[in-house]
Amino acid sequence: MLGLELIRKNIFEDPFFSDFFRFEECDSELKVDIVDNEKDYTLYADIPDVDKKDVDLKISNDGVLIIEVNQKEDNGRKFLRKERTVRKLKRSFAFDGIKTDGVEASVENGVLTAKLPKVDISVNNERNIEIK
Amino acid sequence: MSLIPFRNHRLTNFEPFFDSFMKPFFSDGFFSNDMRIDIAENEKEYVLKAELPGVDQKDIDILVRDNVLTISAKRNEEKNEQRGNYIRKERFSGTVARSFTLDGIDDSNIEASFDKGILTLTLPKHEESNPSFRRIELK
Repeated sequence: MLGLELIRKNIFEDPFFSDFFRFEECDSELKVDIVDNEKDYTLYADIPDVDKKDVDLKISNDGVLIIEVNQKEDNGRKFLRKERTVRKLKRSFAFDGIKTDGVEASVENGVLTAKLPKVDISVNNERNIEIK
Repeated sequence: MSLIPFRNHRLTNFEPFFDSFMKPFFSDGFFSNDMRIDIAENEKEYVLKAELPGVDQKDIDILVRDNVLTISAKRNEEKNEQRGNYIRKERFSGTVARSFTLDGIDDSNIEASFDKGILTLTLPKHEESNPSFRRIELK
């Protein structure tokens, strides 16, 4: 369930797949949107009622973003209805082609926003290989 | 994975405050992407908490009419988006609404606040009205 989710743009650009995944009901309680912008990927995660200090966000140097939410339990109340679950959530996403040291994140109004800048592809990475 | 279309019949689906135990498991609210709520009770009041992350306070509408409380909210993605392509879309967008029938609630004193994406409604119970007895004269 906590498997790594691969975020690769080319798979999802296919119209068939994009429709398929667009309104996917995901298993995780941590719902995210990921937007492919020109210069970055922006991830939005709904984390209502969660303080900034209860969010743990990590990025590995190969582009794996891990979101962990630890929230205190709302104890000692009598509930007539309880749909909101206690949040100890974790989700990971593997991004391709991002600058891992440039990731920025903020929490506002119950939404975690993380911006993952893309590697500048205009930089010429070509290299001549000498034929021996 | 399931391919379930948006369910938009919630406005007509009034949920009584006093529900059977099982209902939450079968109602849409439990599984859907939409607004999830908790209702807690103490001696004096009910406290309803609804998850509305990313919604502006001005886009929340709370209406009490004929003993029916309706919470509706609108989340507009466009305004903070640079028109990029979604490669994943799990969060709700558009309008969500839920309605509840109120029973024994002093609806003129309902209070609401909104913080960290959580709408909190405090619904005071009616003062326990001591039934007043009237002696009936025997003729």
